[in-house]
Amino acid sequence: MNSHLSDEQLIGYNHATLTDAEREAMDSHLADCPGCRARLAEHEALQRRIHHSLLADLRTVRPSPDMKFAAIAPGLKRQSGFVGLWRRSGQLVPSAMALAALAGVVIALIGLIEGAGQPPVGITQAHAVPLPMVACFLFAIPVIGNYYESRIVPLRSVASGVLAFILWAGTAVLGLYEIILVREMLFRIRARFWSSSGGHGMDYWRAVALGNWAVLPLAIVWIALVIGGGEYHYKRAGQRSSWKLFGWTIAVEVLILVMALLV
Amino acid sequence: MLDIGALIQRWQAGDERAAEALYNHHRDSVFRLAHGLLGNAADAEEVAQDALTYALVNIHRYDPGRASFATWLHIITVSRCRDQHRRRRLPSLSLTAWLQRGRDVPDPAPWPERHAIQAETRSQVWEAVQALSRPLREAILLRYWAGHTYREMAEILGCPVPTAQSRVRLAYKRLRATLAPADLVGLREEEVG
Repeated sequence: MNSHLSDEQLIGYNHATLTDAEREAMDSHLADCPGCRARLAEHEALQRRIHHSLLADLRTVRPSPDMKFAAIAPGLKRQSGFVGLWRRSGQLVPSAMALAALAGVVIALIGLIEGAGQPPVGITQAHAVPLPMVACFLFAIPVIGNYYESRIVPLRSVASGVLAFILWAGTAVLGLYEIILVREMLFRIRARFWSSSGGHGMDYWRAVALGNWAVLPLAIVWIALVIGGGEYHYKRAGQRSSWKLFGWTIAVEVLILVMALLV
Repeated sequence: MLDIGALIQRWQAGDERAAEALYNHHRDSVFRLAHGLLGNAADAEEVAQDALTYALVNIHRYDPGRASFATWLHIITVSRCRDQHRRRRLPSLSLTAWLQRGRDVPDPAPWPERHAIQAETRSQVWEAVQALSRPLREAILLRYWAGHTYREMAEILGCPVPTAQSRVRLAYKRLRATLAPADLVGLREEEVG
């Protein structure tokens, strides 16, 4: 090696990223070349400066007095009970959760198609709600799991993002289904409690009209919630706040399903 | 000398004093790494507290055969810092900030003041490191400040060893380009003086 060493070689030498053969060749050149030795020394000096500066700068920073073990101790106790068992059971594999959520979306879609195919013309419940209930249950599995498990290391955020998207789509489908349910509930309430003819004749059509008119504001609310919720989950995908909102959404949807069974 | 392995075993058996000892032993290191990566104390404290909580809660996931406890903590810390960066990148509107527009800002507490003073006295190297892109900043801090091997860095950064090496070299070159002209200016000033 007669020509002088390049900066790239010297940097590789100082950072110990060369092969043994490259290092040996450079050693033999450096032994005979004071110019390259001087340049190598410059690199070493800059490396020392970076190292010592970072040590000194970060030595001066200290956490505030609020950052102490006592602040996290209650959380450690809380998470070592049922949740600890849940975690150790190894059920929270992301792919299994995504499958559960996907199955929930499919079931919710079937429920929606079935529900939309039935006219709201009965004083008693037109149809039961087993499929959306199952969908809610399937959505709840990944939501509960991730609420406690979302703060995990690499790549989980990608899986969480995909999962959040599936859940967002699934809860939106359930929301559509529930518009139909609320329409039917309003119809039944109107026909049962504000009808002089027992829900026949004009009263019947007034009840149908009430249910149909209610669809418009419900649809506006649904669109606002889907867009607003989508934005919220997009910004916080994989975070606990996102899973928490999913939890509340599912809880409200279950509540509407239960109410539909009672009214 | 603290026996980290014994503390981990005691905490796994439910001894909370062992958890506290682990926390106290690693608190400053985790906080400083987060501070170096994020550049501010408030975010660093949140991330560090979160990382330590996660590590203690998930202590059963720690595999001593794969990495030291300190390296494992750094894996979690770097991951949390990346989450924090991602959150910062997303456009957001602070309702609190919007509501407080036009109102007098309260006097800062003594602790933020102290951090502000510290920030003023930081070196050129610090400023140059903060100006690096996130992957390069991670690489330079893990190598130059934490002293990790390239293999450990690859584990922490979730990349192959050659990628960790090339990031360190590239970060060094960027720092050299930033710091060298300032050095020359300093030398010229000395000559003139």
